Amino acid sequence: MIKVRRLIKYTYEHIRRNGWLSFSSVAIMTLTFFVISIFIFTLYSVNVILHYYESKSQIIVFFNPQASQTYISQVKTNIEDTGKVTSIKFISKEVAYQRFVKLLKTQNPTLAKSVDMNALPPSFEVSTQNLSNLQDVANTLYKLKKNSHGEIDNILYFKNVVQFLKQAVSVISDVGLGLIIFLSIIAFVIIIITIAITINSHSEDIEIMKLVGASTTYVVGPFIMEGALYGVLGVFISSIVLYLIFIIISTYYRATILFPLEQFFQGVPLPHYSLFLVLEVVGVEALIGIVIGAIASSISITKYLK
Amino acid sequence: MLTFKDVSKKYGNRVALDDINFHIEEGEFVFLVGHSGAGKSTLVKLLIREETPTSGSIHFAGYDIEQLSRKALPHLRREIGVVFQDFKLLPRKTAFENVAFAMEVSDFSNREIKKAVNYMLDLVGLSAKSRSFPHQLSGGEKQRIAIARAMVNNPHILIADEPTGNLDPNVSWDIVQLLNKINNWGTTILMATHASDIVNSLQKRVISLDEGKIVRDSMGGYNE
Repeated sequence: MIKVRRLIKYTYEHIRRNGWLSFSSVAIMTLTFFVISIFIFTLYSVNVILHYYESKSQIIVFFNPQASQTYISQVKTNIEDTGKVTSIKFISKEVAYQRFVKLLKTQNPTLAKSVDMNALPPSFEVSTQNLSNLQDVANTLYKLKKNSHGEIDNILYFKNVVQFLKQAVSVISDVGLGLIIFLSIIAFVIIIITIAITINSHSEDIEIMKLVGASTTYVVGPFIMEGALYGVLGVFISSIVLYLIFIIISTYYRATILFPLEQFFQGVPLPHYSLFLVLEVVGVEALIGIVIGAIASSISITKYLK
Repeated sequence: MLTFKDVSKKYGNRVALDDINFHIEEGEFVFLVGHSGAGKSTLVKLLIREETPTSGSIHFAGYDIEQLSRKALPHLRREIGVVFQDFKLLPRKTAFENVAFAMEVSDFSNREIKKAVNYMLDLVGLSAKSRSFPHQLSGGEKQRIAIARAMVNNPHILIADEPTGNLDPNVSWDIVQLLNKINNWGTTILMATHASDIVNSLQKRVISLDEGKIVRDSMGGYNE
């Protein structure tokens, strides 16, 4: 207990004596973890949205209106046999006609009346669990189309949104990771320098400490604690800042920022940041902060003691 | 209690200490004399294991100093009190804190520290200045604080490396009186100095070094 109390006392003395330098160390750590947090939550959100679109994406197979029921059933069996399909919905000529009329009724009633039900193609709406399954099923369908005698009229396949999101995820990951590595290196170096300067301003203390029989752990402890503390403070301050920004946006900018976002992603369940998720992220970041800080100061002090 | 056996120390080609042999009994007061560069400071450094000898062995209170591991070093240092010419006090700590510092590293409780430090400050006659910072103290007072710090862990030996080097003659004399008092209470004292008047007046054992060799080891004054 006495040891811990003295460790805290000396760590506090170091930080107080360093003033602005300690401040800049905490600031750079805060910035690093701020970026890391934003990166993690953005990636999480984009993944939630991506997952939604993936589950919603489907292939629509249009049959020739003259295609036989037998052929259509056979295609259904073929698609089901791939084992990658979650649902196949058959849209008969009648259903297609009803949809079409409903769509045109308000815009162009004359046109709606003039359409012949038999001119509309029956179709399948095929859904899969994820995008790669969708691709596989699409390939199967293209083969069937190639071998058909015009029974399969067209295959529509909405992959653009999903591909865009996948690309977005990959770009965010790359840029984010690059930024995190860059900032982590800067934070690491700044802590090494801060501790080196702390050590320099304490060289007399260290000399006397060793002279009166302080163990290496006793000498080194406060410096490592100092580095770790910079890391932890960075994590907590960045978390608080991020939380405040979130509160401010959701309170004062609901109409200007959140509402348009909700409009844009209409129907998409917006990601929910549970308390557990937030605590998990902050906890892991705090651990990383402690490790970065402690290792950086260990490097500094070990170099000095040698 | 302290034995140097065939100890030599070389820095490159320069011989700092050459075949040093002596033994100091518990409770002795020994002067280590010689010109600057004679090897006094090197000998002190070997004793507190700031340096290791090139050859030979040093035994002190059950320790083989030259073979001591890094881990055991703090324990040795707690058995040896050291006082320097430049005091080596921490400028941002009060007199009390400077003395307490030596006990804090040995994990004593705050109560034990307070008791021992107050006792030591009383012993060196500076109880009234326990809250003063080093810059508020005279040279003699600073050295008394340094002695208090060296003695607070109750060491086997007190090494004083030119403790009066920065002090006026009358203040120097006070410091030597204090060291003598400490010796009378049973602590062994090894004092490196080239202040001949002090050595002459005390008439203790004198080990004289010249160019890294012991040229004399006997009772008496500076030049006898």
